[in-house]
Amino acid sequence: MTISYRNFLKLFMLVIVLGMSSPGSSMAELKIDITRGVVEPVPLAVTDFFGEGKGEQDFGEKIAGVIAADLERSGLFAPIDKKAFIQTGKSLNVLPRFGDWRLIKAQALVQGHVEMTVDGRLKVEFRLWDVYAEQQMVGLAYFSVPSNWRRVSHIIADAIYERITGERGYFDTRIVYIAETGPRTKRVKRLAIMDQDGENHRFLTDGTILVLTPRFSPTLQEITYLSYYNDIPRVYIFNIDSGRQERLGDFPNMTFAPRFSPDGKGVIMSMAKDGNSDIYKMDLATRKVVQLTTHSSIDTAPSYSPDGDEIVFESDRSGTQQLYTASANGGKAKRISFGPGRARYATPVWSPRGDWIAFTRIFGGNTAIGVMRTDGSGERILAQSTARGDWVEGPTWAPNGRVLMYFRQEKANKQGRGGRTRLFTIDITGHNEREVVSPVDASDPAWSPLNQ
Amino acid sequence: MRRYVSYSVFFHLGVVVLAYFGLPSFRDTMNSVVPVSVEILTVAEVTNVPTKTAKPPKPPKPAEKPAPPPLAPETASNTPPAPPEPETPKPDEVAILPAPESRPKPQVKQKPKPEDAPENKKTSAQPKPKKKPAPPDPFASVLKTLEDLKSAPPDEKQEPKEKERTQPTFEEQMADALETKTRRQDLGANLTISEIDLVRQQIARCWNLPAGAKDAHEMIVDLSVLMNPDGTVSSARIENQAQMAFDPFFRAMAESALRAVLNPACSPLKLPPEKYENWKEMSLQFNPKEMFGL
Repeated sequence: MTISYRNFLKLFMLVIVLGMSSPGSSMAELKIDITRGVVEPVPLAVTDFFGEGKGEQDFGEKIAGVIAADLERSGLFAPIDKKAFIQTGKSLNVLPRFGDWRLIKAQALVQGHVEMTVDGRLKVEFRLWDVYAEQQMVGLAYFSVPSNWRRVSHIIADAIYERITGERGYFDTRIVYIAETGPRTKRVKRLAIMDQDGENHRFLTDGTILVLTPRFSPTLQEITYLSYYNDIPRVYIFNIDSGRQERLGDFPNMTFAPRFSPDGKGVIMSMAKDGNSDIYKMDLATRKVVQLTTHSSIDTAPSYSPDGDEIVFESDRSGTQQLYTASANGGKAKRISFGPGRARYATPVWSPRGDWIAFTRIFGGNTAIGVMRTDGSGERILAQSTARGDWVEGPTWAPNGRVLMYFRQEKANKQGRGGRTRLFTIDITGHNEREVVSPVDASDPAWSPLNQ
Repeated sequence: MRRYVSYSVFFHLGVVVLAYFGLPSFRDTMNSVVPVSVEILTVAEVTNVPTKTAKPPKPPKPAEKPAPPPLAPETASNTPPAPPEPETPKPDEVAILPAPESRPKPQVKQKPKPEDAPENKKTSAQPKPKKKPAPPDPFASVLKTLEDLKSAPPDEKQEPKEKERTQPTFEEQMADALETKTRRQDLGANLTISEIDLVRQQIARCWNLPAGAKDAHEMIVDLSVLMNPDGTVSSARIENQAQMAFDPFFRAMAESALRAVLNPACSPLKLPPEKYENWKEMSLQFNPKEMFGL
């Protein structure tokens, strides 16, 4: 009604000139579609958590440090240097001055409070603020024994990560891997475990027996792996809490390449027999064994889909090593890897998110870590060997299916010495490759599920 | 009233006649015009980028503008610290189980805590400010901040890399975008292509979207934005509230769009002030699909 004759006329002229008709579209409102953005780490400020006493302040500082380091390592966040902070200390605990934080370009603000309770426990409280919207995004308080402060920090980092990205976090996790020492010709290999950030490292076996391919249970503090106890390669289960090892099943032949089922109740693995190897699954409670593949070729390295309905595995039934999917109850296999030239594929791992399968690809003297959709489409290489004699292998997924870890082995000299072997992480977008700090050479990593 | 009706009839007739006879040629000119304006736009884009050097002084300005309102109630709330306490949402209470190997005893006694915890906080926050360590000189820290920002802001490092990566396809994207229907509709809103593209690019630069999220390429976020005449955002609202509620991925995507609009680095939006009537209400659609041509 208030639309003036002039505007009316103008609008109509435009309609005519453009030769377009858009019934029902409101003319008063300007519509703009934004189809491009940037993919940059979110600048955020993690302030030292406030504490009244000296001890509490120390905790507050250390906790903020671990949180900032976790978030930074993910590559999705850029923690702002503490020196730039304008508002600090107690006043933050009342209410952030959002203007101050906008000034230093923080988009999110993490602020917290540490308190020792009378019963000697640590109470850690944090809030995540959206600086632009001036709103609290999440606020939580945790109680724990003080020695558990690292874990509390990881849990808070997970909460922040989850709230901002929409994705489950993965900081409160551990890595089990094969720690390697000595020259390549006389390599000592031990099972080892550490926090996702390299802290709390410890060896689980003493190195007298060769161990390979550790895999985490999705539900228990257990690892399944391959051990050469008495020089006979067999699949074992290791309980992290008790340190107990147990041979899995009484197979007449070599068993290898084990992996837990998604519900943790079964293990899927390969068994070799007369130069042929097939895939078997074992129910851990009943110890019942079911053979899933019967092909005369080598079928190995099985991995379950997160719903447990399907498996992916490698097989040379076509003449070269390729990836196949099949029902988890056996049946017809479907080849999904069709790489360039004579590319071979190995170590497939189904993403916990279900959307990708990670693999090692061997092609033209290079090895690479990549992902493909579960039907084999959309193959992308994320990381590859950089020089001849180098090697990348063994992808394992972070529990949120967003980050991959693998190992990179550099070429050793003629004496079999030198040439580091280290763990690396990379985002599934192919960015942010990082070395995972380990005290000794490390290979064959397996990411734990998110701690409960 | 009747006058307007007759105008309406007249113009409708005009539309039909023109559409019937003149449209093909208009289409032609449109099509031939579009590529030209792409050129203009890319140039405009480039000229905009250098203003980045002149940008640093800008962010503070818009930052200050929206700042006063929140600051005022805040300083006011400093004197009676009681009110802000209930206002700030109470954190959920979570008692953590220590790492399984260290101690397997479950602790579920958080319920009584919520009441006395904030109580404790209030009392402890109030009467003993003596323990507080001497805060660093605020002015010194401001200066330091500015220096830091000038010399080596952490995100500066990241930027060139990202730019390089996105640049090659950008032209294509623009060309693409120009040909879409919505594009032409924009023209109907009385702003020129280049005016709209200026804003589009301005917002795109501030839209830091969560890449790699599952099904990120299928999410479309609608924001309705009310603008102030000076080009700053008066208010912005995410339209897809229902989807926000049950899909955390979508919520993250939607909030990233909201942050783009509220980002001081993108304020004020470079809209022609004389056409304020046409852009005081905007609906922005964020569609990351083209970003994920995996």
